[in-house]
Amino acid sequence: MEFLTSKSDLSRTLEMVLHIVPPKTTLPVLSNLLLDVKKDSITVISTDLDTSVSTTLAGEVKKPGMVTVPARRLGEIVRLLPDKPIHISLQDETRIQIECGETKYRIMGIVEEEFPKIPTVQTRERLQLPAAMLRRMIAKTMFAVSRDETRPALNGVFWRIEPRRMEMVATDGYRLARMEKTGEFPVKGKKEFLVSPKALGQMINLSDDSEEMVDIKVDNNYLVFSFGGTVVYSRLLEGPFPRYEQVIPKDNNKNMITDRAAMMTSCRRVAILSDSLTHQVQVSVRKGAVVLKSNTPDLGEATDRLEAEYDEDEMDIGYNATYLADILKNIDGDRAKFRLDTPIKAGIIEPVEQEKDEHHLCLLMPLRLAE
Amino acid sequence: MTGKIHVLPEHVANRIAAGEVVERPASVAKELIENALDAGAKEIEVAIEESGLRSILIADNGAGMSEQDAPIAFERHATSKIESAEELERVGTFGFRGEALPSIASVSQIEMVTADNEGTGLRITLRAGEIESQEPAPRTHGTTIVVRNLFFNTPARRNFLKSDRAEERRLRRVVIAHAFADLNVSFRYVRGGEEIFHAPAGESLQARVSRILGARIGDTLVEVSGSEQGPSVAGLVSNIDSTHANRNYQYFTVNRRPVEQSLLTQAVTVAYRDLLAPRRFPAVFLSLSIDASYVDVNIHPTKREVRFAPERAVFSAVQASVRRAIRSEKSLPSFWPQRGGATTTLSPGSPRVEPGPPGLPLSGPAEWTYSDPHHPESRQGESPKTEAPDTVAEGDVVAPESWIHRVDLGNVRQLGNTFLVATGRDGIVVVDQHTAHERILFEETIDRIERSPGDSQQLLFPETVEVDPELLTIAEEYEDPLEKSGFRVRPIGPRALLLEGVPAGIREGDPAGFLREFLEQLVRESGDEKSRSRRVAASIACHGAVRAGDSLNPEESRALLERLLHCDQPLRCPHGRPTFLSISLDEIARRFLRT
Repeated sequence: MEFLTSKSDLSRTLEMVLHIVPPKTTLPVLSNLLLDVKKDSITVISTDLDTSVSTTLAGEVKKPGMVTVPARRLGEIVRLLPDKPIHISLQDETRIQIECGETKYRIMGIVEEEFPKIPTVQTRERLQLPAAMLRRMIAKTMFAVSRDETRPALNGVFWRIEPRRMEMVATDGYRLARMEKTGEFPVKGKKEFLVSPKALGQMINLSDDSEEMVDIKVDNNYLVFSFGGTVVYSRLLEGPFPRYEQVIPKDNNKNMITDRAAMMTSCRRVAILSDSLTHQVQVSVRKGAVVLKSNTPDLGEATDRLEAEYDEDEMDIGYNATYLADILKNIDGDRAKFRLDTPIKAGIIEPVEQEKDEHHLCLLMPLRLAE
Repeated sequence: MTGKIHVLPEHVANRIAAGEVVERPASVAKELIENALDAGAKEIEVAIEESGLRSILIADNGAGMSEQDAPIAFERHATSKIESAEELERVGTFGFRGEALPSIASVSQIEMVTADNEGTGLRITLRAGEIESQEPAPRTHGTTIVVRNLFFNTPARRNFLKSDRAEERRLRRVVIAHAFADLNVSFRYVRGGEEIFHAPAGESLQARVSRILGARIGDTLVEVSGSEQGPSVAGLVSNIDSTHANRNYQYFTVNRRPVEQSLLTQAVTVAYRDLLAPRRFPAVFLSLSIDASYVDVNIHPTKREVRFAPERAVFSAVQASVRRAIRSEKSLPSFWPQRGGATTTLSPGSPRVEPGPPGLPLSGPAEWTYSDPHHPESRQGESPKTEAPDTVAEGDVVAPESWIHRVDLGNVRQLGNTFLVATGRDGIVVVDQHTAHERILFEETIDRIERSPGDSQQLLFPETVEVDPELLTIAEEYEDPLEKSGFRVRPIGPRALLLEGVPAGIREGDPAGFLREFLEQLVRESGDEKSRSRRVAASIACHGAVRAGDSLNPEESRALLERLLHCDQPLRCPHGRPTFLSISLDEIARRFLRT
């Protein structure tokens, strides 16, 4: 195995693959990158077994071959190399030589046989979706994914694609975020899968701010998407994702509309004196106003008030301030609409103005205040 | 002048005897089930209304009674089961004293329909022990007896009863205990018209346990069998990973007779010693076969306790067989030390499960004790298994304030991802990170709960929690304290709860497990609101605390130790385990033979 490449090309490639490399692992080869050099291509692959990234590297192949090389070490090496052509070659079975100008490294790799095989996806159906749309949908839902490892079904974003409608949903059991998009989607029937946030993060990173299309293939076990020479393989999470449609209230008719950013700031203001465990703030909807309040004995109390459009029964509702602020941060627009029912029912929070072809909705379960 | 002493009329004597035999609805059920079994019944149905006080119906397909025998059965010491004192030595039937029926009859209204193989059947009704009517009534062989308005004529006795739910629980335990004692008899239990379980004859013990108490218990049992000498022991016990917060799931049978026996409880406790976290108890379904002449069942009118002639032999047979079963490969935990999830984490330093107060778990005294560094012995536990230097023993306790100044917080290191080590002016401090964090969270949580009790985080996806009927009744009975603690639950069906809200502030994890644990603890002790909030706090603390094996960086280690030292009671976790030990310079010097 032998090839030539440039510092900038190699840096860019490593950037794509390095953050998949697991920081700690019991399987040493996972700390390595696979260099797969064919007559006409150089491919670099990293994996943590659940997600794998494969990307091509521009360069000049002298001799095909394969080996794995310690990922982080290679990253550090490349970062400090001079800006000159880099010559990488395999000396014997696992010793890799890196030459650049006057700098020379010999680094021990691991034979490629030990590197996990990249999964193949059992489907012919390919799906192309605009990168920008995906980025937006991911960003508007991923924040609600549960990080609680004991509830694996909530550890991903649920993604459903139908011919005329697509949605992503995430929840941690206390709040939920859903983004729906209408349009024409090139699928036959309905596709549903649960994707890890890590893979979706890759999708965001890869496509950056590009407007191009992402190529997607999915079967029962894997989601594979490719974009500009990089392919991400992600093992789908096992559900079942909860039946969220049932918990989205249909008859929350008490609408309160207020300034989104002001409400978020207000929530953060009063949260400073909320209980450190429950983060509870009391949201009191009044005619024409909303009052936020925290009261923690031994700590103190805070109130804030802002104008709001509200003309229904007055209510006091408890919310976890962290969740509330989080939702307000993640919805768009100047004004937020709270669709409420009773203080113990889920509240719906959504932007007042939405794009014609999309609907963003967040649900937040209240903290039931003790009588 | 006539003498002052006279023989009591029979109805008075019966009512006095009733005081011994018929304490509560559960005792009625027990006596009548035993009668049914003694009559050779293969199918027994127990149906009750309102904890059994309103009515208890027991129907069997046993031998039944003839028209002549039926009225006599209600006379005192009338029995078909023994004829002479000698036979007492070898009693093979459950009853024999001839007290049960007349005693029950004297404090209730009874309707009995019975028929033997020849007879046409007889319906007999009694009120306060007096026969009110007798008439022929068709029936196939067997007896159906309905006891109504128990204690209607002894209101004082009624006052000694616990709540309806508690009484129903006891009664149910009696039925369940008999169902486990004889797998060849089918048992059906109906409460308020709703079938709680129906266990067909001939199923395996495990199937019956799963049917009655749920697969959660049934699926985590290992088999106990045989014994080389002495009595034979057979049945099922929990594997050491699947234990419970009380002894409610312990059922013992001696020669097919359900017993509550401290000797047996202790033998099991000893068998599990060193293997369980403090105050965790295994489920036990054991049956002993002992030559009837070695068992004295006549030491108490209710025969709840029995006495064994070779006590030692019984004890060691039980202990040895259980020990063998749980040491077998099937019972070993998958990881050691176990991580995550359950609170039954095994850790090398776990104190033994104390032999504890035996007897009816439901009436057992409170066992939940809190750490009190000034009275470490109040824990009623034994010393930890590892011979840890008992530096937190009474004499050594140092006021927390002074610790803060004595420990060098600038240099706290983690040891084996489990302990924190710091040096101080006077020696070395070793802290168990899990128990220490538990203590910290406990005090914080207590504080919070006492400030604002009952705040409940509502769940977006209410969770169905499978519980056995036992826990379900408790959930109903303790609805108020549950709510005050922040739980919102609703029963759905005979063996499930819908969990709609959890105490605000509990972190991640397994809310269903938390609820179950909490309910089990509620059974184990009654207590006022304050002690309950302490319990929630302890559970929250335990569920939220870092565990052994979690890696902490130096800043986290330091913060943990600092917060611990600021606690009111930094020396024990809320479950009574030590949080830290110290090794003094003197001690170190002594080890180096410098003194």
